[in-house]
Amino acid sequence: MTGRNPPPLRSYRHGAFKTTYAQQPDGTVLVTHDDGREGRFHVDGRHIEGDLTQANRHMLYFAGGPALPDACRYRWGEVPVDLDRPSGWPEEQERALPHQLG
Amino acid sequence: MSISDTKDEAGATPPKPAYPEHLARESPYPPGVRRVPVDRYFRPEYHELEVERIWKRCWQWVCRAEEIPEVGDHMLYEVADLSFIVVRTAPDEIKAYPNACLHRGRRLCDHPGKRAEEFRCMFHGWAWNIDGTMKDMACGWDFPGTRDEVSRLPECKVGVWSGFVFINPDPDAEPLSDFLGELPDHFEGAGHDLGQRWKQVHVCAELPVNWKVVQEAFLEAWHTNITHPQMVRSPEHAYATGTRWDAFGNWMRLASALPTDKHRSAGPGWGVIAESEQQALNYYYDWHDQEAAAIRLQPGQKTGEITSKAQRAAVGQALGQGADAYHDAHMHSGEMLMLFPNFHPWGGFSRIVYRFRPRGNDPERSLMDILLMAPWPNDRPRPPPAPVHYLTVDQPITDAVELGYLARVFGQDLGNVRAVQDGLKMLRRGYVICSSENEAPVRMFHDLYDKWMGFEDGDHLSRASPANGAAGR
Ligand code: FES
Ligand SMILES: [Fe+2]
Repeated sequence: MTGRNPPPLRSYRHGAFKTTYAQQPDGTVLVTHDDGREGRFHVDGRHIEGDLTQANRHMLYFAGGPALPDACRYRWGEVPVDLDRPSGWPEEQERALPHQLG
Repeated sequence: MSISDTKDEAGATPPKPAYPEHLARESPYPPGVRRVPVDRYFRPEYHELEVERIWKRCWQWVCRAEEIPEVGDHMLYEVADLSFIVVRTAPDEIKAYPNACLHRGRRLCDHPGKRAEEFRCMFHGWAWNIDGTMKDMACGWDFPGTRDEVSRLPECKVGVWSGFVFINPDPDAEPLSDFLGELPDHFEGAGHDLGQRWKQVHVCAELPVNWKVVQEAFLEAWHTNITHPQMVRSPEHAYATGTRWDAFGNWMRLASALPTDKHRSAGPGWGVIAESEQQALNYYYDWHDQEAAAIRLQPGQKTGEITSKAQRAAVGQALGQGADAYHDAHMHSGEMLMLFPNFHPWGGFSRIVYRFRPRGNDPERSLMDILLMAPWPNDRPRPPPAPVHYLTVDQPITDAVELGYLARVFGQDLGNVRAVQDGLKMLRRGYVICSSENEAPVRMFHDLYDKWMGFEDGDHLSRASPANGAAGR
């Protein structure tokens, strides 16, 4: 199953720590705590500004790190196949993966 | 379509598939914490001993049988500074040889290839047939009395399990089937013949860390809590967030998040619980908060219901109604397996296979192979197996977009391993600690490692003081 076209900026909740990680247009990530504190971070975890000075660097990466082409936003147990195509991949993925198909 | 609303032609409801027996089998590893000396992750003496005692003696997965389909097709298997030629010598026979000319030792074969009739050395031209017998001893008259020594390439043991070709460089090694033990019962015996799967994805990433450091990042699930905090659990599965490992000789299995009371953790669950069912579903598919979810849950609907159906539909894409024969437990992707020393064929329809090995003679270089093995119908020819997509040490894992969501997950894991490699050298006490339950597979790996390395009475290479418990167990 693949997602729809994503808007350019991603955000995720870290429910256990009551924080939201929001990708910013400049490539940094804004972390907002439910208590109102905010901090801006590099994707690698370095703090830039704000009174929230620490964050989970893996969430920063997940929100602000590399994205995948839409055709490749599948889960590992649900990688699509097409029995009728010689490559075995559906057309959409075949177009997105020219180098991987040999 | 779920199994319960499937009717056969007579209108009767076929019996629901039973909970798989192999998943219900329990064989807990003995409890206890374990201290592991850190020297083994970076000191060259360990690497050298691993080459002698593990890489020259252990069964290792080298390739898929369908990658060398015709007689003469061959590939090279490389681990540490060892190289082996793996060649199909007959429709039903594969042989493997150390990759070295018996004259003056030039590497005999430089590249994998198709339909070879001989392996001819590119130094002075000696040649052997693909079955290992001498074909051409150029200027043999000049080597009086040596023909017997060079008449056959030395052989490795070869075994094939479910399409995976294994070699063992040790001619006295036990048969592969003995080494695997009851592993096949958990695959073909449970309706998952990996020999029928199609190798849809194969990525091989070079990493600047010891092979055990990266392997251990994939040898427990507990790190999910901090390393993959987006992998939240549905509130209804809160109970299943512990991880119980079972050990079966040379391999071990994690069966987590399965719809059963078995394999429950002894302690409280550790997983991050989603704030809502919808959030659990969204993050399961990596739909972030700024995009519309492709599926909106109805009130009272559970994530697990949707994901099981989706997984079943994905399996059904290949197997059609054949998917109906499988219990929902087969559909969950939480069945991790690891065969010593470095092979991880996940169970059920998880599709994942990993392999970890040292790259060259640098104890801080390794290769991580990642395969996705798609279900494929028996009566249709399989597409060609995916060629290996190599990533250099400087390439991010997300360059391998064919991995899908996993690529972003691996980006998180691999963000840790370099930091682990660095931090290990700073541990003044000289050892790390592995937990009783969640890290049982890491403990088990090191127990087996000690056995193969000859450390049963203590790691005599370690500089960690026996007084702090690191040298023993
Ligand atoms: S080294 Fe191979 S023929 Fe001389
Ligand atoms: Fe991980």
